[in-house]
Amino acid sequence: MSVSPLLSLRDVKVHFPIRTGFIRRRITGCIRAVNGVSFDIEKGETLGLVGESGCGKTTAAKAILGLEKTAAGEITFDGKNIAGLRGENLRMIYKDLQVIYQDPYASLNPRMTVLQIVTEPLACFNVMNARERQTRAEELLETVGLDPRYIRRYPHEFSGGQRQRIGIARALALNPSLIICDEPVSALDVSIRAQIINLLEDLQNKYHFSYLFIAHDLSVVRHISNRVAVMYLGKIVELADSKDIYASPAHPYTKALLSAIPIPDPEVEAKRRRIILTGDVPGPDSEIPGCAFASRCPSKIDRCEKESPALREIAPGHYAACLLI
Amino acid sequence: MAEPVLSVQNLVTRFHTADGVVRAVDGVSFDLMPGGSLGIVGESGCGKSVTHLSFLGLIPQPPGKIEGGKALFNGRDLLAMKPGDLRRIRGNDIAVIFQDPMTSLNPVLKISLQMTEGLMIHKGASRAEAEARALELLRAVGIPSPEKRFHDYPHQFSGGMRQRVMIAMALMCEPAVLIADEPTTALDVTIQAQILELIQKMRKEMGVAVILITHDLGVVASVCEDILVMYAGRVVESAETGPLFARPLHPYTFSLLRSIPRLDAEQKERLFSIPGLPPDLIHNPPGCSFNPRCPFAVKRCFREEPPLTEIEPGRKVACWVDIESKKERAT
Repeated sequence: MSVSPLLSLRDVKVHFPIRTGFIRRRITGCIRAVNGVSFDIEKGETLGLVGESGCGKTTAAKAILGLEKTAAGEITFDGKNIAGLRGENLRMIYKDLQVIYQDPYASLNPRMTVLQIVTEPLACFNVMNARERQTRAEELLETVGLDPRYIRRYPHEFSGGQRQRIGIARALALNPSLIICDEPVSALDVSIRAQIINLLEDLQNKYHFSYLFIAHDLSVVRHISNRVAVMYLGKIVELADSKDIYASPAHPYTKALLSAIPIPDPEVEAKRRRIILTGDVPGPDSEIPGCAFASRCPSKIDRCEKESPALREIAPGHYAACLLI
Repeated sequence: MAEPVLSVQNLVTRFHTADGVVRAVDGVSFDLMPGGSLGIVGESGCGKSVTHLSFLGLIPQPPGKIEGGKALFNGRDLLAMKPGDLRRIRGNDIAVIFQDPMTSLNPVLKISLQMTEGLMIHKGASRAEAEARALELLRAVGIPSPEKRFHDYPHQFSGGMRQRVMIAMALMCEPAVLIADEPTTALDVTIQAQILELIQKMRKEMGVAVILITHDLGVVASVCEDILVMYAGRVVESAETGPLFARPLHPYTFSLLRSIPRLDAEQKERLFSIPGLPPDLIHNPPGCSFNPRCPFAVKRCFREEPPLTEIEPGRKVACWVDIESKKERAT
């Protein structure tokens, strides 16, 4: 590819030590939350990252944001290696890299007004004077569909969907080139989700930034993303165009995940064959020599327990990590 | 036709709070046939949980107050019963599975003790009998080597396993009605598929009638025969599953179905979004509660509340407008 990607992860690992003992603390093992993850995000594209709870998707996002120390690997953002940055150097990347969190109740400071919340990124980087910031804040509120007159109000005066809009306005304040959305709609009511999904799409069409869209709901991810990466126990098992991942899933885990999602249509439901997984998820601290999915995989062979499959290209732009493909 | 095992008629539950009166359940009626499956769908705060908590006597009173209606279980009104009589039914004839299996199991008691307690109290079984039954059910719900896990504590089980224990516990006394209140919301999708399949299997094998309460239209589509859609404390539409999804008649059901991104959608198109906010149950607008968000509202919707009316055999809807012709229904 001629144009280098906006964000690029190469074999990123994040490990958490397990400490035991009370007087003599020692490290007795480690949880491999992110265990060798690689992907690229192009300018203006949306990459969806899906997986079940505990698969490491949020930890991967935290590693990109410098909120979690990486054990290995490279993270390149806008041509610079940002893995392991600290202090002022780390702070400077937030001009271009912003985040929207899952819980709109916990992610807004209850003691700050909307004006303070939305303009905080501007204040942090000393952009604009006070009057310009207020104008910018009003503009941002309008962009996300809130009444600019609400600028002096506090977060508790808003509903969940409106708070999420405030969080989005804050993320937009500095015109970032990448916004990480960590489960941005899962805490919202069903009838509000579509409003926020549409807003996120409209904003991208207007400002052309990229999203890393993290969610456990594959139907939402498929709707919003250009490409989708499926994670299982710290690794990416499949990565493909969002059309392909639904039409021709290659990895057995992706197949099971897709078949487990109920479709709101009884006629379609009656015709579907559901793959019910058996077996247990291995504990996060166990060291697995072979494929992490082997304990639950319906099409497992002996080799799967010994050899760890690498993520390889099985069709143009379609990657999967399975020995059987 | 068979008599319904549970018949709720015009149930009204209100909460008297400092901010005003919350109309949590406002005239809800439904029938559940023996061995049937009913899905109650709605957003948070629509009254779907308060409905079953009301007739099981689990609403804190005050601030809550059941202000009207009947809940007939095999012909006996649960709302008129003495607390002691209701206790003999609750957990025995009507069992509940709650959303969060960690908070509904007692963390300091072994699974064995929690599971056998109900059978020993309700049916006067001996400990040995109760333990044998518990082991049998744990095996039926798919706990591997139940003898080994029987004396474990809840924290030693995973989320999906805990929910299986909850289901086994609910089935201990062979209830006639099983109420599953968001049983899979706290679980991963692959585990959700297992639990839904298990509930289906138990319904078929044991003939227990199931009420499944959820906000996920996909879940009810695959599990339930009949569906009740609730909005702001009222039933806005009730129908069999097939017709409801094929041709929703209430604007809320119609909009909600179109606003969910579907896994099998043909191409990426813009989602239909319902404008506005979920209803405030203290300051309900006059007329229909859905009127501020309704794309089909006519003048009458802002004045009068539409009653739930049967407009086709087996299909009830509470709306003044026929959304297919976009015209007010003749009454």
